[in-house]
Order: sequence, then C-alpha cells, then structure tokens
Amino acid sequence: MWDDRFEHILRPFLPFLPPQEELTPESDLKDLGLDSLGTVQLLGTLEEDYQVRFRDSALTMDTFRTAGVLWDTLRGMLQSTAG
Amino acid sequence: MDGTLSGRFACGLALAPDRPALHADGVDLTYRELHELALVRAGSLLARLPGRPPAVGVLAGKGPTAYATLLAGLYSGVTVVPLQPAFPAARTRRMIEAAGVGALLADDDALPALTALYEDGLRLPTLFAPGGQPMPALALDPDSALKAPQPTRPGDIAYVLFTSGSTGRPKGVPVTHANTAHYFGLLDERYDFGPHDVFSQTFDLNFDCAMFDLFCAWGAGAAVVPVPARAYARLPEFVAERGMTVWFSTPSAITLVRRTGGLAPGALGSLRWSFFAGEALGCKDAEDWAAAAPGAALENLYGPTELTITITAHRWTPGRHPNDMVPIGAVHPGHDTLLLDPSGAPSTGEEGELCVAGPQLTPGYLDPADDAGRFLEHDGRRYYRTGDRVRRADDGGWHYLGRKDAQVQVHGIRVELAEVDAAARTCPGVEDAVTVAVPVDGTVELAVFHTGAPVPPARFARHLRALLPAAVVPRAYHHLDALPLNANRKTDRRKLASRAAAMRQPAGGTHERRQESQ
Repeated sequence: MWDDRFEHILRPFLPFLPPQEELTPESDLKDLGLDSLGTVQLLGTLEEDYQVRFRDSALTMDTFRTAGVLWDTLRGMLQSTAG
Repeated sequence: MDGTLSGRFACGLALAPDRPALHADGVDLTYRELHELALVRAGSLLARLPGRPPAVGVLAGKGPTAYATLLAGLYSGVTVVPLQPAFPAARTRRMIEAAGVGALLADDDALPALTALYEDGLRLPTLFAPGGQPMPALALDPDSALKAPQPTRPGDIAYVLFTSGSTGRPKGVPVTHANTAHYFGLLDERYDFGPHDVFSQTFDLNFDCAMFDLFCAWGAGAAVVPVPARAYARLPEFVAERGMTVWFSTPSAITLVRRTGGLAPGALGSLRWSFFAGEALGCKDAEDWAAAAPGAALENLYGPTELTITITAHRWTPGRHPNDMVPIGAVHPGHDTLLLDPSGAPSTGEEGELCVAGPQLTPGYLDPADDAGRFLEHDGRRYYRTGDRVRRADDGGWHYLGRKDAQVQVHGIRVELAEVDAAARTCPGVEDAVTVAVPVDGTVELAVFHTGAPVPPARFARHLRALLPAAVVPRAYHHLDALPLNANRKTDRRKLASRAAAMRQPAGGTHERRQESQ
C-alpha cells in the first residue's frame, strides 16, 4: 500500500472521511468530498512533495477516482524517476 | 454590426476567416470551420423537426464540439437553452420542461448526460453527431446545411438561463437579442479587442459570463481557449503557451492560482486585459493578480443574469476601499438606477438595495409567477430589484455591501440557501435542515445542520449531488438534536453560521504551508 506521507496529503482533501475511518484503495475520492478545485490543489501538492510531474494525459478525473488508482499513478512516476 | 449573437460571429468570420475561433483540447478550429459545422448542425436540426420548437436545448460542456453546438443553436434562430451536462438529470429535465425545449443539440461528449436524461424519463429528438444515444435521433446531414443563420427579431428571446429559486425550483431568465445587442454595443466601445487576442473561457456555457468570452472574442475575430480545471495547476505555462491576452474568471480563481504557485510577479505577462465577476473581488486578490499580469488592465464586473451578463464595470487602480473590496463601478450607460431603503421604499440616501431599469433588463421571468417582488414600477419605468445592497462611491460608481436576503455565490454560482435547505430535507433520515454559508478565501462554502437521524456525510453529499450543481453541494454536515432558535423563535442562522465557521476543517490544509513557503 501507500506511504504515510501520501495519506497525510490526501486526507485533508476528503472532508467526508471521518478521522478515525480507514482510507482504502477502493475509497471513491469524489464520494469522500474531493471536488474539481480540490483535485487541482491536490495535484500541486503531490507534485511538490514528491518532486514529480503528472503528464497531461494522466490529468483526468479517472486518475483521481480512487485512492488506489491515484497512488498507482504516483508510484509509476516515482519508479520511472528513480530508474 | 448585426446586433444578434450569431451576427457577432459573422463579424469575426468576415475579419478573420482563416484564423482560429477556438482552441480546445489541442483542436484548432478556424472561423470558417466553426461556421460550417454550425450551419450543418442547425440545418440538420431544422430539417428534421415537424415545426419550429419554442426552444432548443444545447447540452454542451467545454470540449472541442461544444462551441459548434452552441453556435448551431443560435444559427437555428430558435431560443437557446444552454444545459450543463454535469448537472443532475432531474434538474436539467425540469429546465427543459419549463422552457418548452422541443429538441436537443448535444456535443460529442454528452453521451453520459443523454443517457441519464433518458433514464430519468425524458424523450426528445436529439442531434448527437457520434450517434448511438438512446433518444430519438436527428441525423447529421451535410445536405441540410443552412445557407446562413436564420434571421431573428430584436424582441425574440436569444437564450434562457436558469438561476436558483428560493422555492427550490430554478427560475428561467429570458434574454432578448435587443438585450445582448445593447450589451455588446457598449463593450465594443469600451474595449479594443482584435483578431490577435486570445480569450480565456473559464465559465460553463450555462453561466452567462461565458457569453462575454465568446461574443467579445468572436465579434473581434479573436480566439477562444477553454480553460480546463487542470490548467490551474500550472496556469502561467498554460497562459504563455496559448499566448492568452484576455482573462475572465470568478475571483475564486485568484486564490486557486496563488495556491498552486502561479501568481509570481509577471507570471501572466501576456495578458492585456483581466476581468473578474461572479462574486465580490477582494483588494488583495486584485493587487496580487495585477502584479502577476502587469501588462493588463483589470476590471471588476458585476451583474445578475436578469440584467444581461454584467451591468457595471470598475477599472481597478491600486488603493484602499471600504471592506477591502474592489468597487463594482458605474452602471452601464442607458440605464436608470434607484435605491430602496430596508422597508422597500425608494430612497435618496447613499446606501440601499440596487434597482436597475433599461435596455439590458430581461422582459421578465419565464414563469410570470416568479416576477412577484422582483420588479418595481417607478416613474413609469420598470426596475429589477437586484437584492444587492450598495453604497454610492465618490466617482459615481458603486460599492458592493452584501445581500439583503439568503442568496449566496459559491464559486460564482448563485444559490438560494432555501433551495439547498429544501434539497437537504429530502435526504432519507433527515427531519429538518438549515444551510449556512461560511466565508472561505473570498468565496463561500456551504454547511448543513440537520435534525433527525445522523447521516454519514459521504451519503448526504451523494444524495445532494443528484439534486444540486456539484459546486454548491455543501462541504460540511452537522447533526443536531434540535436547531437553535433566536429571540424571535426562528432558527438562529447567525449562530449556526459562526458555529460552522469554527468547526470548519480547512480543505487541503497542507496548502497553507505551501503558500507560506513561497
């Protein structure tokens, strides 16, 4: 699964996820309150904290659909940066 | 110039036939190309309908085909009702029924919306170029292309837009060709747009500020560039790559761009003009934007849909203003203004509710029952009561002070809190519900307090997304055993609003750090 930093960044964008409730890879981010403006801010934060850059083709609502999909996209970029 | 909206496109077509009218998602369309597409769509629509419908719905987002679809609606000469594909189907269906929409023109991305409307029980002849949608289909037929846009008369309704109604039912606002002709005539005198300008297009097409973008640009032979949400993540690059010269958005965009690090001095260097409307513009936001776009004149525009797009304009200069808010400026020439005191009587004071009469005024709501209390006869003229409290400024313009009722603007979308209350009360388990607005970064967020059974916020929000535009779905849900009452035994909204503000958890809190670290 993801690192603590990812969840720490993501949670504040999910107002409908109670603090004590678990964030799962299947969690639907829109259902948890991620809106389109939140998506833009989240993108900026992830890029800055992880020093990556989302390709334009990755900037779709699909990428931000669930926590798992978003983490996989991010991890893919981290691996290609490392290699 | 022909004063109609399609006449304005004709003007751009004559000025710059082979220059881009649109640059969307990597697709460039010249004036000539967009014109041909619209002629085919409009002709296909009219050829296959038994008669002229009272109105045609234009179901269009912001993709490459959205604009030809809207233009086709205007070319058909029939009243256009812009419909937002992302809106809940039930809401869109009520608009369609209220406006007597007899057919739909849908852009190529509208399949999910058409499917949802169909499942909601709607059946309308629909032109959807890719085919394969569930409604009775109107085929796209190049042989039916119109030779030219259908003529219209000044008194005809150009478009109908819907705004939030306090009864929970959206109100239809018809705007005539005469209304838009006066409006754009004034703008042509005030601005210097030309074929080399590149306009941002941030507003959804069912929001009338989009008409400013499109028809200022198209009247001048300029290009229009839709700004997708993700462009805000790197706005300076987006603006520079497209050579954008005219920016128009709600002030919320300034906060967003600041947070994504895009407001450095000179970062938006290609802009010649910056416009803001849709909610109050803070002095600090205006200053920061002006520093990022030093080559641009900045204007704050104001206007309810009932007064055709915008009715005042203020050219910003650095300085202090009451409440740290940029003035809304002077009412457009050709109009009369009147102030009402709190009792609703005409007032000669410096402060009151702004009422406006003149050529940009709608002939009245689609449903005349909605006119009650919103219009006022005075000295033989018909005034619209804006519901906005203003104070006279030294330069003859106006300062915006606030609303006299429970209407708020959430990211530029006008909403009656009563409408949100009504929607919240339909959520299973909820007995009573009260919505309050919490000021956040120059705009507001909505919070709901409710009685009845506790409801998980995710479920509450999902329920409301089926009834309300996504942008106005409340961001916080609080369960109470009973709603607090004030001294008059009414729900104490003021108390709830301050409680909501205190309980608010900042969304994306890590950004405060980002901002400080710049």
